[in-house]
Parts: sequence; C-alpha cells; structure tokens
Amino acid sequence: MSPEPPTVFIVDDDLSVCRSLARVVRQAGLEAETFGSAEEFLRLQTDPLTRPACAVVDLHMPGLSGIELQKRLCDSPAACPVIFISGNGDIPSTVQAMRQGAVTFLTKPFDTNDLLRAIDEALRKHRASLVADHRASTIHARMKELTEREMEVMAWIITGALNKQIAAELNIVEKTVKVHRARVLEKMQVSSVAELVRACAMVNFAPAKPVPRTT
Amino acid sequence: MAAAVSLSVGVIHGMVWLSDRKVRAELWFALAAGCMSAYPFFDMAMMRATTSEAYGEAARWALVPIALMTAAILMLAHAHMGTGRRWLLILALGSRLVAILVNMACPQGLFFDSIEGLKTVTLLGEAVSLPVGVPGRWMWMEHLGAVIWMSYVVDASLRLWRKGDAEGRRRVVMIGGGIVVILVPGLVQASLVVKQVISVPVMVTPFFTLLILAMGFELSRDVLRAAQLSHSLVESEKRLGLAATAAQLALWDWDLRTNLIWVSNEGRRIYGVGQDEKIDFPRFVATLHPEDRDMVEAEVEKTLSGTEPFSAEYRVVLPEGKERWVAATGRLERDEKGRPLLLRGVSMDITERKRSEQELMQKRQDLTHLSRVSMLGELAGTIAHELNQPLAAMLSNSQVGRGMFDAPKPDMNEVASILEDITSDAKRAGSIIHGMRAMFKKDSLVEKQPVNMNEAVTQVCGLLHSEIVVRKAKVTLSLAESLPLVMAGRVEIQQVLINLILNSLDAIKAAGNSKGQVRITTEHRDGRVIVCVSDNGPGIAPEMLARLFEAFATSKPGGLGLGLAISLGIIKNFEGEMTGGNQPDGGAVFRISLPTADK
Repeated sequence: MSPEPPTVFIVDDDLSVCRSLARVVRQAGLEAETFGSAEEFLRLQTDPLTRPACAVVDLHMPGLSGIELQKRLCDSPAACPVIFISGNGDIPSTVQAMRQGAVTFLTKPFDTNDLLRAIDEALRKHRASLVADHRASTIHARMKELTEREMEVMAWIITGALNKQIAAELNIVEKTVKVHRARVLEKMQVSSVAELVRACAMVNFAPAKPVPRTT
Repeated sequence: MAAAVSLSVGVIHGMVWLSDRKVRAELWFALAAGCMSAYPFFDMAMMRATTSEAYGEAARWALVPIALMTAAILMLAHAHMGTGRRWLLILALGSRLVAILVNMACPQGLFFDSIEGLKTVTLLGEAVSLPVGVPGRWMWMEHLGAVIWMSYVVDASLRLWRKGDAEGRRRVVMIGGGIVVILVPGLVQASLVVKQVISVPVMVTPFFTLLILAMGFELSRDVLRAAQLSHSLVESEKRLGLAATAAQLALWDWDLRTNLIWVSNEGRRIYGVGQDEKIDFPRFVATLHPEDRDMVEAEVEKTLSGTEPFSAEYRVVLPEGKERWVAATGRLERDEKGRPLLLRGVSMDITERKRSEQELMQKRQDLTHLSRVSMLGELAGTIAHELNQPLAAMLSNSQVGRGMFDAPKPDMNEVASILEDITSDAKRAGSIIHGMRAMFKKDSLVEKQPVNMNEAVTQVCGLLHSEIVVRKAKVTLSLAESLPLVMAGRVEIQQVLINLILNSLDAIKAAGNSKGQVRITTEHRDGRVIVCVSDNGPGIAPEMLARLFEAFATSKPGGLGLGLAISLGIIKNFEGEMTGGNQPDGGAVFRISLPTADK
C-alpha cells in the first residue's frame, strides 16, 4: 500500500515515558514521534494523514487532557486511532475513552507486547479507514464528472427501476434514458448496476424516491 | 524635774536613732532634749543670783543651750516635715550663730548693756532675783533670728499642709504648730522680763519642756508604729507561710554575700533536702538533673548580670532517684551601688502539669500523624500514578533492552543509554517512596531542623503533581530568592502545605471552576518567612470565617474538619502563625509565617 512506514505518535507529559515508548516503537520497525503535551501534538501534527498511524496518549496531562485530545482527533477525516495509557485508570474516564472509540486502555506499567499488540490493531484499523477514505474520495471525484440530469438518472438507476419507468418519472423519452444510463456507468467506471449501487452506498448517495401517483 | 524629764526622753530617742540611723529626726530630738535638760540649771542660776554680775553671767551662758536647742529643733522640723526651704534653714541657723557670737562677745551678754542691780520678788513662796538695767542694744539680732527661724517653720508647715495628706497635716499641727504656739509666748515673756515691763523671772523652761514633750509624743508615734508594723509583719508572714504551704509553693532566698540559701520547709520537701541541712548554691545545683544544670546556671548568670527576673523550669532528682519537675521564678535585689545582694523567689512542683503537657503533646502528635496518613490515603491513587510513571518507563526500557540482544549486532550505545534511563527512573521511584515513608513514619518527638520553605513547596508540588493534573488545576509558584531557613519539622511543614493545596483544589472543584488556579508565594519580611497559598475558588463562606481553625468545623461534604486545626497546631508548635481569609478579588488565601532560623 503506502510506501511510508506507519507512524506512532506518543503524547505523554513524562519525558522518560516518552523516550522509553519511542524505543519500543522503533524496535518494532515503526516510526515514533513524541510530544510532551496534547497542545504540542495538535500544533505540530496538522497535515492530513496519508500513511497509517496511531497515537499513544497519556490520559492525565497538564492542560488539555487525553480525552479532550481524542475528541478533537475524532473530528478530522481518517482520524488516527488512540491507545490510552494511564498511571491510574479510573472507571469513568476509561468508559468515556472507550465510548469515544479508543482502541484500548493500558495501565502503567504495562508489558511492551501488550502495547505493540494494541498498536498493531490500531494501525490495521487506520489502514482500513485510510483505504475506505481513499475509495470514497475516488467515487466523489467520478461523481463530479456527471451532469445534473445524469445524477438524476443515477439516483433512479440504483433504485432498480427500468428505463421505461425512469422515462415516465423524468418525463423524457426512453431512448434518452438509455443514453444517460450508458454515460453514468461509463463515467462511474462500473460494469454493472450492482457495482454502482455499492459505490453510491459508500459515499451515502441516496436513491430517488418515487413520487406517489394520483389516479 | 524638767531637766530629768527632758534628759530621759532625749536618751530614749537617742537610742532609737542609734538602732536605725536613717531616722535623723530622732537624733535632732535627742540633741534638743539634751540641751533642754541643761537649760533649767541656767534658769535657776539667774533666779538665785545675788549680784548683778552673777545674773548677767548666767543670762549670757543660758543663751548657749537655748541656741543649740533651737538649732536642733529646726533640724528636727526639717527632717520630720521634709518641706522646708534649705536656704531659709541655713539663714536661720546662721543668724543664730551670729547672735551667739555677739552674745559671747558682750561682757553682760546680748540682753543687757549693763545690769545696775537686782530686785527680789516672791514667786510661789520663793524669793527670786529680777534684773534692773539697760536692755542690750544688740537685742534686735536675737529678735531678727527668731523671726527668721519662725518664718522657716511657718513656711515649711504651710507647704506641707498644702500637700494635703492626713499624716503630713498632723505633723504640721504637732511640730510646726507646737513650735509656734509654745515658743512665741516663751520668747515674748523673756523679752518683756528683760525690758523690765513685767516683774516676773524669765520662765523659758516650762515652755521648752512643753515643746519637748509635744515633740517627743509626735516622734513616739513612729516608734509605736514600728512596733505595730513588726506585729503585722509577723502576722502577714504567718499568712504567707500558710498560703505557700497550701499552694505547695517553696519560698526561698539566696544571700549572695554569704552564698547561703534559705528555703521554706515546703521547699526542702520539693527539693528533697533535709530539714537541718545547710544549703548553698553548689548544694542546690547538686539537686538538679545533670542535663538541666548548665541551663539553670546560665539562667542564674543571666539574672545576676542583667535586669531580667529569674525564671526556669527544670528537673530535680530526689534522693530516692525519682524525678520531679520544678518551676522557679525569682527577682534580684541590689544594693545602692548596683551589686547583687539577694535573689528571692518561689518554686513550685509542676510534675503533674508537665506530665499532662507531655501527654497532650503526644496525643496531638498522634492526631497529626493520623491525619497525615489519612490525607496520604486520599492521595494514594495519584501517588501511585506518580510512582507508575518511572515504573512504566523502566519496564519498557528493560524489555527493549532485552529485545536488542535478539538483533545480530546490538547497538551498545543504545543499550548504555537505556540502562542510564532505567537507573535514573529507579532513583526517581526511590525518592517518591522515600518521601512517602517519611510522611508515614511516626516520630515520638518532632525534631526541629533547618527547613528551606522553597524546597518544601517544590517537593510538595512534585508529590501532588498528578493530583493537580487530574483536578485540571494549575499551580503557579512565585518563590523568593535566597530565602532564609526556618526551624521546623520538614514532614509537618509538608503536611500543612499539602493540606492547604488540597483544600484549594477541593474548593475549585466544588465551584466547578475549569480554570482552577492555585498560587503559592514565599517571601522574607521582618525576620519571618511567609508562605501564602491562594486560589481562585469560591472563597470561604462568611459563616465559616470565624471558625476556620476550629476542629470539626468543615464545609466539605464528608470532611472531618481536622485539617486546618491540625495545621494550625503544627505551625504554632514551630512558633509560627497561620491565618486564613478571602482575597479582595475572590478566592481564599492562607498565610503561614514562621520565624527565621537565625533569630
């Protein structure tokens, strides 16, 4: 996939902890970047992530806490997963951390294997979300090529409607629908309606809703 | 008869004066009475004179005892009333002296220029001689002298009278009044005889005898009063003895000239000294506990060389080996030249008080320790966090280090730096444990040691670091440079600081303040080190302000209300002060002030 090695961000106010964790990460063949506070991390790590990454974050830090950092990270696309570490895990903050989607929660002192396993899982998660993210952005790019009418027709195609039905709905001749359908499949680079449905689902493109007919 | 009376009165007062030379009035009175006892013989000689020469001679010499007596009476008035003008007294005595000299220079004396003859009259059935002659031209000197000394007496009397106290006024009546009322008629009568206006002999004797008696009576009052005083002194001594015994007070005095110490019987019991044993200073020191001897001797030395009263608390070792606590206070008496004369004082058995004091101290210490332990218990979670940081780093580092040996060529530089990190983290963990152990340790006695308050503040902030982070508060320090040391217990001071910081954190949390700030400042002012802990919480409720340091008064849900009470006890134990209140712009502020170690 990406040629860059995965990166692990380590955020802990304890310098010695940062250094030792960086060593663990590097020994496992990963990149390590350390930050002394959540603020520092947010300031320095602003580029959108294109390589797999995860963050190992101390729960209690002066200033912005680990939980607050996680909240901010969630808002960005392809957010890097967070592994929490803490000297004393109290239940409420653990629950909140997990609810916000933390990969896991390790209590200091922990075995490096546990940490590496958690990092592994986090990277896998991030990799998957990166791929999904990549796919979605491709579909978005293709959809931008469609005309307005083609978008309308696509919305009807993915409902499974026949050309005749679509023509009736849109008040155009069936032949024109046929041309539009071919153009949509071509522009979206799919070979079947089933594929088109999957692609639309991935970017949450909603199918058209038939207007209830009056008799 | 008048001579005998005067003489005996004179002798008695002379004896009184000899026994107490400070009472000058007695001396002058004895002198006046002595002169008076001589005078009647001259009087007799005049009355019985058969020739005019003999009469003149007697009259001339009679003036000598009269002059001496007036001088003595003046001195007596001067001493007894104490208000006379000195220059007037000297003038009066001088005029007397001049008159006497003139008198002795004239062949017939001062009274007569010449005596031509004698006439005989009958007085009380006896034939007495009266002079017939020319009155002396120097008589005015005698009269002037009389006016001067009379005005001295009148002036002194008036001045004493104006002072207004009853005792002084009585003296005016007896001495001043006596002199004027009795002597004036006597002198007038003598002058009339000399000028031959009346044909009776000079009768000064009765007047003077009357005066001597009046004065003798006045002075006897003092003697009587002394007797009364000595009687009431015996009484009050008895009362004092009774009170001292009842209060178990030992009375003592130490004569510094003879180095002998007198101690009441109760005192001998307290110090465990036999009833008949002679006590000097070394014997007293021997009763003391060996460890207290230097301190007591130093206190005594301080009293002897300075002006401070003697005061000490020390242990006495009784012959049977028992120890007894004694408190002694005394005052030094000095002679006029300022040399120490006598150290007088009282001692008291305070063993019972000392024991309860020590028990109380022990209880307080137990409580302090207990509250410290419970405070640390509350902090256990965050302190564990503080300890888990180095442990986590050590664990990771050691596992990485082990993993490095699986590589074909381990990077030895990296291994070395890993081992260095492990060492420093192990030390960090060790120092946290060490600090904790000191806080948990229970000392039997708080040992005062020089403490740097800046260090204490930073150490406590280190210990509370995690707690502060968890509470999302911020602690700012503003510490004075080159702060002097204070004498205190390090652990106890840390306990007080932890208590104050936790209180601030709790207050911030209760107020739901998300921008909690605790500010700690140290400063050095007027020989004291001042530490202030303030916060931007809701401050202290008005109804709590007055009861801030009271035990069991608390505004915290689930709080025992002992923290501040114990903190205050700790600070007071180190001779410090602690106050608490609200800042003008909100939030509470607590202020600790401790004397610097060099004071």
